Amino acid sequence: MPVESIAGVRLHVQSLGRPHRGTVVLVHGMTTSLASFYFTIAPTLAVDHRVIMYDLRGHGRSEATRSGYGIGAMAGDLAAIVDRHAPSGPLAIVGHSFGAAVGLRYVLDHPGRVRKLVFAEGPLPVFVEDEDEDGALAEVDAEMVVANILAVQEHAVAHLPTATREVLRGTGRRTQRVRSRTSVLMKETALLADLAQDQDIPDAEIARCDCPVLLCYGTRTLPAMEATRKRLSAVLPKATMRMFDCGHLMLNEVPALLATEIVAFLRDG
Amino acid sequence: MSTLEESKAAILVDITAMIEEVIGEDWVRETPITMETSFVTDLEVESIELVALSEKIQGRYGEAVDFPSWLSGMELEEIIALTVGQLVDYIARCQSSR
Repeated sequence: MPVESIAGVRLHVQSLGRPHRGTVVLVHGMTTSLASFYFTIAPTLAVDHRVIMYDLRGHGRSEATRSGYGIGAMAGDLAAIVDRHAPSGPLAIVGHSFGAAVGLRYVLDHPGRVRKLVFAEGPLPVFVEDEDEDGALAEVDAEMVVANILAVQEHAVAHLPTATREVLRGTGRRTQRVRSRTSVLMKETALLADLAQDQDIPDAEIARCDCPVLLCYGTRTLPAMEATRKRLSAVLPKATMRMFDCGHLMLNEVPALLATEIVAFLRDG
Repeated sequence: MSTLEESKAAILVDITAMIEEVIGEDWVRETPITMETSFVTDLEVESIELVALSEKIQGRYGEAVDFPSWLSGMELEEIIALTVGQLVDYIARCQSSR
């Protein structure tokens, strides 16, 4: 740590805490980084757990490889992180947004390995046009993905206080850097093609999820997240649901409440 | 200058060097960093840079200074308003309570 070569990719990894109650691996969403956990829920989880966070490939300080951005490949990176940093012992996974879908993919690929999964504000399929639910897999294209990401970001900050929103939207160095990285991901990697290949997991497969799942969603989230929440609560065999008074950015909006719910969920059973 | 003020001045020197290293761009070395400098509005730091700063703080001051926990206790608006001085004061408090 912090930047290490894992399965041939240079990934930025950070950890907090000690493993009294096992290890929790946190998987962030698209166009963000492990920082979305590091200063929000991770310190609380680290009181009782060893918390491992990493930047997805192409994000934060991790390498932007040419390809490997679909849910399946990303779950492969997660598997390599687990093999390296938590090869045995109790393991829980917490994923936010796209990271939640990656976490679920990992659980399904490794039956019996994960004790608990937290699926926070995740979309599944990852990109879908709200009005057109048919043929979504074939419809994924650059414009749609960029439009989706912008819509999620805009929706996520829309209800925040004006001053906060203006700082987050910004036009300065921070915003420019985020935009430039997003642009590299969209234009210089195979992210779009990779996602078009495997952006969903069939219901029949989701139904085989063998661990308890805590579904966490905001009351002011986007329609695509809302649809996923309903779908997963119907299909997952062991799901518990918690709603929070927030939008998609629940890690920033309600970190203390979310951390408390996750700690309780990890402790039970 | 009291001992506490001396200690804060020394911490500010340390933190300034860490910020310059983490941001790693020429302009930051030419920008005076004071107790009033804001991380978000003046320095425009990215959150991933704050993670790197956190690593450096832990390397320099050890576990007595828990930067991630301290920041996680703040509201979004407080983080946006966070100044270098608040961090210096926090580190000085951690050191004096050891």
